[in-house]
Amino acid sequence: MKETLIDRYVQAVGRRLPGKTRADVQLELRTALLDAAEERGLDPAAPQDQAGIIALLKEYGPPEKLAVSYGVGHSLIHPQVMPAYRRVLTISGAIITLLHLVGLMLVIANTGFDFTVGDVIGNYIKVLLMSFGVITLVFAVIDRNLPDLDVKEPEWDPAKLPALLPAADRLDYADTIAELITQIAMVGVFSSLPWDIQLPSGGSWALIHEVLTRLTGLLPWFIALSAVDVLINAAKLLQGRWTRLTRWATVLQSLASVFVLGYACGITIRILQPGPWDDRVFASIAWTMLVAIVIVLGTAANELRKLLRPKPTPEEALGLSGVAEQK
Amino acid sequence: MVTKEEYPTLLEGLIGELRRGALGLAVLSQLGQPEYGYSLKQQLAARGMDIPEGTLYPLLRRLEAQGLLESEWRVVDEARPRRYYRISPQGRQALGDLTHEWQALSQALGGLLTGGTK
Repeated sequence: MKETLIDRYVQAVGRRLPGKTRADVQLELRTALLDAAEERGLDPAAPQDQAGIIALLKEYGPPEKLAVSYGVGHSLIHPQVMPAYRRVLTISGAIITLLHLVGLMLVIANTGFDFTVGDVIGNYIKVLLMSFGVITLVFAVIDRNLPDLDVKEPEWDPAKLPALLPAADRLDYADTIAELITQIAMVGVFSSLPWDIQLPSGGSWALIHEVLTRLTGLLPWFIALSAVDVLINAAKLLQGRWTRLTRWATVLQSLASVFVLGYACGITIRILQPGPWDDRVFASIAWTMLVAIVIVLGTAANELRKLLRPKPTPEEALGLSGVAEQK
Repeated sequence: MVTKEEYPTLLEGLIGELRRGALGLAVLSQLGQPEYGYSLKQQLAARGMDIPEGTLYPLLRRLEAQGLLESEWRVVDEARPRRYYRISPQGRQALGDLTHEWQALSQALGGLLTGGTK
């Protein structure tokens, strides 16, 4: 079934509603709009009927106004201001992240690793929270004074509603930001670990020294993989959604990680296996690496599945399938 | 002082305010039998109370949240499940009280309007 302006309108209203009631309101609104279109003899998918559908949607009013009339509670930032608030938060978050990365690179280039990873992450989070706090306060003030401002609103055009964004392509912001911070930390850790530890020589220490030497050789790969993950998550945050490009990049990055982890696992097992180790110690190292490989492989498989799935119907994209049956 | 051009907007706002308080009563009065939003809108419009969809659906939700209406989904057509609303026992009591209040108000206002100004 083809995506229509009605679907896009329903999505735009739903984006401004709390998750608890969203699907329920969206389903009812969609049915009501389809009923109204049918009564007027309009086919929402027919190009010749688009003017009629646009007129119908204009009667319902801009999505943000309709969402407000559903009385979404006493939030600090109201739905009509929420899209702009989210956009400003995303842009400022991306700028702060970029400036921190550039600053980190300049420090490394000039003074080497003369800092602790904890300080860098702590400062990054502090700046991020302070900026978000100030932005939230400014928007809360704007929100409360907006009705008093005599602003001439531009005429709302339903033809410019954004296309449907399937539920699977929506971004989990908290998850993405957490992953971004973790991977930045990983780059810092991989770059600054004292890999040239002086170990006692002879006996089993020689084997550990050999493992560390070989793993150190893989360090640029670990740093590169984490850096690629940082770029993917930054791109996702800037675009505000998953795209085919970020999904393919994630699959390739995960497969490359599996390859590097598998290689590291192989080296460790091959060198340590003949050593005088307790079997349980050896088994724990092998199992830890194996679990890491399975997790990364699972990520790649999940993203690949989403890439290969057929295009969802408008009901599926809106997350409305089965909502009525569940209630 | 509004200009001649601004008067229609002002009047529209005043009529909106006048009607707003009566919409809940109008909706409650028509939900003795279960109705879905669009059929209720048609029913109200046929009796001279045309409520815009953008007002009616949020109003139904609010009345339900206040316990004055009950609702359930009915799936007759897979593509268009409909949410049916009907008045709750508490809504019935509110309808009785509001009707009484409305009649008193209407009578008082009628007296004021027909009596003219002092």
